[in-house]
Amino acid sequence: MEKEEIMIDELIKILAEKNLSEINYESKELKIKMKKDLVQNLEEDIVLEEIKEEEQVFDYIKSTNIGRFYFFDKNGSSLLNIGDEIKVGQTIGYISTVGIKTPVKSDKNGVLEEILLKNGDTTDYGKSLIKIK
Amino acid sequence: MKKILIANRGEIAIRIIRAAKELDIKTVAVYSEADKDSLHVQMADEAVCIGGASATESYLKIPNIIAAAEITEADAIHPGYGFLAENARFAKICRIHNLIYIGPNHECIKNMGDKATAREKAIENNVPVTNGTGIIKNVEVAKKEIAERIGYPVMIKATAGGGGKGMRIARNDKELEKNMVAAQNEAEAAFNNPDVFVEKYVENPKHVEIQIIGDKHGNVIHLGERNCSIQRKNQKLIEESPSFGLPEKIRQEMGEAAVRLAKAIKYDSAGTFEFLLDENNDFYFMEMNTRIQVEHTVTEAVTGLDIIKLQILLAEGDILKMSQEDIVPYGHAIECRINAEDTEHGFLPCPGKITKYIVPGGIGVRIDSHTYQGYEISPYYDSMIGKVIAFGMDREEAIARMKRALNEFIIEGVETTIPFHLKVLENENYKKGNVTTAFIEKEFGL
Repeated sequence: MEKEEIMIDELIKILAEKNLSEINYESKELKIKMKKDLVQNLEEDIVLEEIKEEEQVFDYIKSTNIGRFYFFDKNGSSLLNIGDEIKVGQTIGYISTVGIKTPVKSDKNGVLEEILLKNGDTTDYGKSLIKIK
Repeated sequence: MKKILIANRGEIAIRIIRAAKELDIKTVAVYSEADKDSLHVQMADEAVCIGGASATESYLKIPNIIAAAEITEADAIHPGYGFLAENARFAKICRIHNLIYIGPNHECIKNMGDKATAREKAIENNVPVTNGTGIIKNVEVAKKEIAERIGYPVMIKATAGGGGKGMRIARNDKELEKNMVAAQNEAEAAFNNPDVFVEKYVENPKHVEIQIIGDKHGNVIHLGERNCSIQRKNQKLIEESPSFGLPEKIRQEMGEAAVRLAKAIKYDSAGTFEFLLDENNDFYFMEMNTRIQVEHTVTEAVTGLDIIKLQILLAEGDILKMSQEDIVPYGHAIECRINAEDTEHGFLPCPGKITKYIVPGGIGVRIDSHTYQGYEISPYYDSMIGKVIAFGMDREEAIARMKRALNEFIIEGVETTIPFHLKVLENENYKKGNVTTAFIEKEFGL
């Protein structure tokens, strides 16, 4: 019986390590069938990931205008670089509509994570322009 | 024309998208944050969010609409009805931005939108109007004018008015004094213009209107008339074409008067002349609507024409390809406006989610609606669910068909005006055509 116990322990170890869902072992004296619910584990993993995602709090600066979003100044240098600190009231770019350029001012503090539009892309009302954290 | 931006929402936005699709023209829907799940957003080729839920932040915000046209490279704008549809400034701004405005030229909108000017134009062109005054500067002068050549009762009207706002009846000097101030205050609040004038009040009139269509080359024809006498507090509920019980001679005279006035003002799109018809079948010009109307559908049913398509083609500069003789309406059409309203409690709007929605169908039934199962009627805008249009070879068949269609219509989750419409359709006086604008008040006490 001792041999059998060792065998079962071994199988449990393999099942866990190899991420298998089922193992069948058969010999003259012994027949072992083991099953593991992978879905349940997977669900647990997802829940963990979601929690991780929520820990990363992102904010978005949204457009209150309709037009083309520009974040390069007239000398061709970008007003926005990933990792920049963004402050409330800071001009993060311009929205150009019917020949009128309106500055877009940040209403939040944070660090620039991502620019969501390309220079000159169109935006409508409420569209997220940049992501900060 | 390659791409039309529709500066509107609801059923009329969908109506315009349908016409554009048939003409192989692309469409752009604009929408407020409250309308992101609307059908017009899904049906158009492109959609642009133009602002917050309140109409002043979105559907009435001209810079945002023009910007939406710019980023989508739309070359034309259809204003629909309501919102900016009769705003001369908007029509002018569209032209400044090289956008084709699918509607009349802005001078027509401006002149006919001002009721006092419209009245003057009618008088100049021999179109009958009721006795009345110019803009009242002094109530004592108005009293004298009424005593000398008009006579009570009179209707006080806001010159910038519309939708029944700024209108009051006065039956004597005392009421004139009191109601004029009320009308002025209401007009000031609603239209930012307190000017009012007085017209002889026509007792128990019929509301009969003439649909006209004109091009940019001076051609104008009319597409027959509609009877819109079934109203509650100046809001139309049921519209029909042709008008029942209207002598052929009067029908012809009204049509000719409308065409005469439209030609004189160089009207170049679809428009409607509203008339009041008294008990002696004398008719009086009331006002002009320089836009497509909710009830254009009944005219489409009896003429077979697509008025929105005509508007689009004529805005591009096409010549009107038909003459008055080509227009031979046949049959009878009725439209019922189905609103999310509680008819048992003062027609109170009932915004909310439509949990079940099954539309009627079959021969002679048309539904123009932006609603679907799961759609939420927003509290920010009007409470219209849709329009049911029934066509029959005569009025009797059209009424029977409308009743059948309304009974088939299943809408759950909100109260609707369907039960009230069915009561009207069953009413003996309605069936006989004994209908004036006082019908709802007289028959239902509403």
